[in-house]
Amino acid sequence: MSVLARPASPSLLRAVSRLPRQPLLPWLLLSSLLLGSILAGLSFGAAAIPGVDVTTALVSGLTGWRIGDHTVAQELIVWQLRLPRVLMGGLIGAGLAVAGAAVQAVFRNPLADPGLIGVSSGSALAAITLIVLGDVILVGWLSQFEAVALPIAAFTGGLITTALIYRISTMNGTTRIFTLLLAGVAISALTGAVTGVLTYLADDGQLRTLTFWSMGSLGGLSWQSLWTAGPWIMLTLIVLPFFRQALNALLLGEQVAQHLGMSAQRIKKVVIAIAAVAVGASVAVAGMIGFVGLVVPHLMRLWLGPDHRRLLPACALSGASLLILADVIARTIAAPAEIPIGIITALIGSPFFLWLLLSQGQRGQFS
Amino acid sequence: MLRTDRRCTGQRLMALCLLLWSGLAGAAERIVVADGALTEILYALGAEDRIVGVDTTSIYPPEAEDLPNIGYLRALSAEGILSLSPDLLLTTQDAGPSAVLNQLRQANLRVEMLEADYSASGTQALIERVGQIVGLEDEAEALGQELRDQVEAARDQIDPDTRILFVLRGGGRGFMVSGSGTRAHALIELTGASNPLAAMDGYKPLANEAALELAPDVILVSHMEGDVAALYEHPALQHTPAARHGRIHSIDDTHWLQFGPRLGEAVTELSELIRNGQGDTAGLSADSRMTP
Repeated sequence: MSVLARPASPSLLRAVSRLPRQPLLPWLLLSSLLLGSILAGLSFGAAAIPGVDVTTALVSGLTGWRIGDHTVAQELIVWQLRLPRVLMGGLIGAGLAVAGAAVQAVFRNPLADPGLIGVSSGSALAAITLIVLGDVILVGWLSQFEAVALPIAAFTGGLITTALIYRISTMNGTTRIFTLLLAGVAISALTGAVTGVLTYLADDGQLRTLTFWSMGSLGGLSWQSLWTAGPWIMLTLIVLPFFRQALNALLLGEQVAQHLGMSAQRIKKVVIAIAAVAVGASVAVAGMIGFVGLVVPHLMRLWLGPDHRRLLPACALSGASLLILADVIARTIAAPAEIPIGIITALIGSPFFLWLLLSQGQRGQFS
Repeated sequence: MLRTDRRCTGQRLMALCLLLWSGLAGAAERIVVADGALTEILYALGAEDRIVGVDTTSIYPPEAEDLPNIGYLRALSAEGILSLSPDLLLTTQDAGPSAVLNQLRQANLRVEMLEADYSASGTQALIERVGQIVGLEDEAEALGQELRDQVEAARDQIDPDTRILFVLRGGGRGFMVSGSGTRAHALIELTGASNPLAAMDGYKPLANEAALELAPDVILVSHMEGDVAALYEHPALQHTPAARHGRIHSIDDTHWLQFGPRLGEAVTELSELIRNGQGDTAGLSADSRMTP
């Protein structure tokens, strides 16, 4: 993979983009934010569990020793419900934010989000198809896969849609970003229309199920989802940073990237595929969670600048923290009920996005 | 709950004994119930003091709304439910998401998902099943029988050709009407009247022309939304026989469409309303509702 990002002329690139001495403060802040979020995620929930018991429950869960005087129920809540949820929530947040930053670089537009490459709308279409027509599709031998069918459908649906959009916008081996954008809009409209047909066919219960699904939730996350969906997101988090220089070059224009000895086409192809994998895997296990992929990269870019060597890790740390904290709000504010996390991220994200539009409009530029 | 049982060993021991006892007897003592009809059944059986949590659809009796609320039954939360230390989650097939239900089962919580069926016998069976689960079989049988008798008594007092249309108002964008497979359809059938949309499945938007063609004799409008008087002016409805004869009625759908212990009452009242035009009609007399 790293071959793709390898500059033909290392010395030239190093000269163009030598990183000034890294200030330590942002990283200290972001790391402590993430650590604090994880602690908050483990400590707060519908069940009030004292910090001592949370700690001993964690140690018991990790080692299998029976220490401390927490109850079985407390250990279960901390070890089986909260911990996988916090870890997976963090991964999803990091994945969405990093994918968002990469997609924005490919589109050379800070207002792009992973939805533009069709992965969310494709996942949604596949998931809603299964919610509405599941009884028709999952018959006989297939019916035993009912529980895993939805995430698998959402994941593959998202990837197929992205592949389709990529195909449409690639002619003679070159992907035109403008065509990619329009194709994304058109395919989203099309999947939206088909989703509308399915909504029309759905009964009361299915309507409610798909409404809640499309608002996103970390509620169903377990160790199993961490083992199944986690690796896909990890893959993205590991591979995308190899493209930090390539993304920087792409920001300057495809020609510049070519002159620096990189294949702009390969960058686009791999980055889009990798971003689709991360977003598809998150949508599969947690439903639609908006605005993390859009707002977090933006915020980090305003703070630390557009250099992807800083931007990508900063996005990973802050995206993870944001989603874990939003989830703490989602599960405590109406306890013992839970509100969909998509609502929380959109409530935080939308006003911020508007403010961004306004302030950038005043400056007369979009970068 | 979780916080307190660490402190007092005595209480914990007692709870343990209770748990063992209830395990032997098979009757749940701390019930989280996620479905409005099931909550009503527990109250009707006198088992309300065993309920430790309800969902958002449990709005009757009003006391139920004072209990801890676990949210909507299709979007349950594992920790939220477990924080109430229940020994049973009583719900229907509609509950979800399935990942959360799996988490609850892994936590050794007994999860009973009952099959709800929109009919008199289905509701009776549901009551009897709940009775078995909470160990109140006799009460459940009596309640189910009473319901059955009420429904039987109300039945067939109406001309079977009476066409009844149930509409939900969809904001300013016209109406949703109920076809077969809906609770409204089942209730109309129980009174012995006919639903002109029986051939259609579920709720669908109503086209203005279709309303005329359906020629409903009575139109029932879900209670929660707005003023009935305006419906007589509505282009879709104003020329229907129901509007001409002042037979558009607002009904309390949370009561009438619940298919719980009050089903007998609901069928009786609807039958009465269809025959006499009396009932929950927002206080308008038939004359004042005539259109010129």
